[in-house]
Formats: sequence, structure tokens, C-alpha cells
Amino acid sequence: VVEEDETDAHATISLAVRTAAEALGAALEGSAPVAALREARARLDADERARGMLKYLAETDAELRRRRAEGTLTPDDIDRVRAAQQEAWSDPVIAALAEAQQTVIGYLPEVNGLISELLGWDFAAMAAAAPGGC
Amino acid sequence: VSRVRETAPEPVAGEPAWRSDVERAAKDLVAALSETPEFKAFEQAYLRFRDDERAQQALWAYQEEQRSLQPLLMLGAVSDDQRAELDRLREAWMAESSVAGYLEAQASLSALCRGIDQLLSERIGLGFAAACNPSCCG
Repeated sequence: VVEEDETDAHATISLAVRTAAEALGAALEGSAPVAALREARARLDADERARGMLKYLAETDAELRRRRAEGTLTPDDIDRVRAAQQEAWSDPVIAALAEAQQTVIGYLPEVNGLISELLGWDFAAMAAAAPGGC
Repeated sequence: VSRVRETAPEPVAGEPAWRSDVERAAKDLVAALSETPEFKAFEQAYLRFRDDERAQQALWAYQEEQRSLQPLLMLGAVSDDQRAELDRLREAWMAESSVAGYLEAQASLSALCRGIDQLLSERIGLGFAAACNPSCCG
């Protein structure tokens, strides 16, 4: 007996697949890289100063993009973003978050490789394929 | 497409427990996925497409034309006639019944994989497929 749940407009996922996907999600959640990322995010959430630096970096970056699109970009704008970047990346909480994120991004292809080797085709590429192709 | 392997690679001795947990769960997901109608339809459609000589020739002709025009395509310098010929070859390939069936089966399987990716990504707080396909679609 297969129960089906609507997940999005295109697909239904059988209970067996949903259960297995959730179990893999739970196993990934318990993996060292993802646990470290969760902890790094919690440290950022608790650090008002670090959050402020990231917010300022996002704002200066958005401003730089806007000025570039308008053709009014000056060397001062670029210097301001670079300074905000340097300040943010030298913060230990932000640096730890970036490192944890990179570790997870390095680990997930390993998991995808295992799944894909068993399937015989690239799972992530199949999941990322846009309807109608790229 | 190859058949689903019976076993996942054996965990290396001394590996942390979470690694074997992930490997086991990945293997279980593959086993569940391989039982779905989408997976089975895709495998059958792929085999039909692979064994369809006309479709393979049409694909070859399209890809050859695409390859020869690649430098011009990158420069946006293809003529209308060259573009029309490329489109004609693509349409000829897609008109083959095994191709249409293959693309349809692929789209269904892709939608299912997107649903799985969504579940995984929500759980880990990071896009799973996106992390594995950093250059997808440029």
C-alpha cells in the first residue's frame, strides 16, 4: 500500500520514499559537518555585533550593485565594500560560520556521489534539472 | 543508466558512526527510489532511447551541428540559416517517439528528485542539490 502526499505542483512522493528521505535528512543532521554548521549559526544568532556586520556588508554590497547598474559606481564604493568584507571575515564568529558552511558544501557532494553511484545517474543534477532543460 | 547496485560501499573501519548512518540512509533512499514508478519508467525509457538507432543518429546529427557552431554560438554570430538548421535538427531528434518518451520520463523523475531534495534541504538548512551543482545553468 502506498500513501501519497502532494509535495509540490509536479511531484507526489510515496510514503516509502518520503520516509527514506527524512531518515537521510536526519542522518545528515546528525553528521559532524552539519552539526558544526548548526552550532556556528547558533553562535551567529547570539552575536548581535556579528549580525550587524553581516547586515552592513549586505547593504553596502547591494548599494554597490545598484550603483554599478546605474553606472554611478566610484572607487570609494568599492573600497567601502572591501572594508566591510575584511571586517566581517576577520570576525571569528563569521569566519567560523563560513568555514562550517564550506565544510558542509564539501561534504554533500560526497553523499550525492554515493547516492549517484548506486543509482547509476547523478541525483543532484536530476533534482536540479529545470523542467524543459537548462 | 545502470541498475541499482545491491549494496552501498562498506564503511571504513574506525570511521565515525555518523558516516555509516548517512551511508545506510543513502542506500535505503536509493532502494526506495528504485521501486517508484518514475524510476522504473525512466529506466525503461532510457533503454528504449538507447536502442533506438534512428533517435541516436538524430541526436548525433544535432550534437555535431551544435559542436561545429559552438564558437559562433558563443559569440552570438550564427546566421539565420545556421540557426534554422540547428533548430531543424533538434526538432527532428525530439520528434522521435523514444526521445519524447525519454524526456517525459526524465521530467517525472526529475520532479520526484526535486521533492526529495526539498526534504533534505529543509532538514539540513542548506540546498542539497544546489551545493552539489554549483555551476548548474551557469
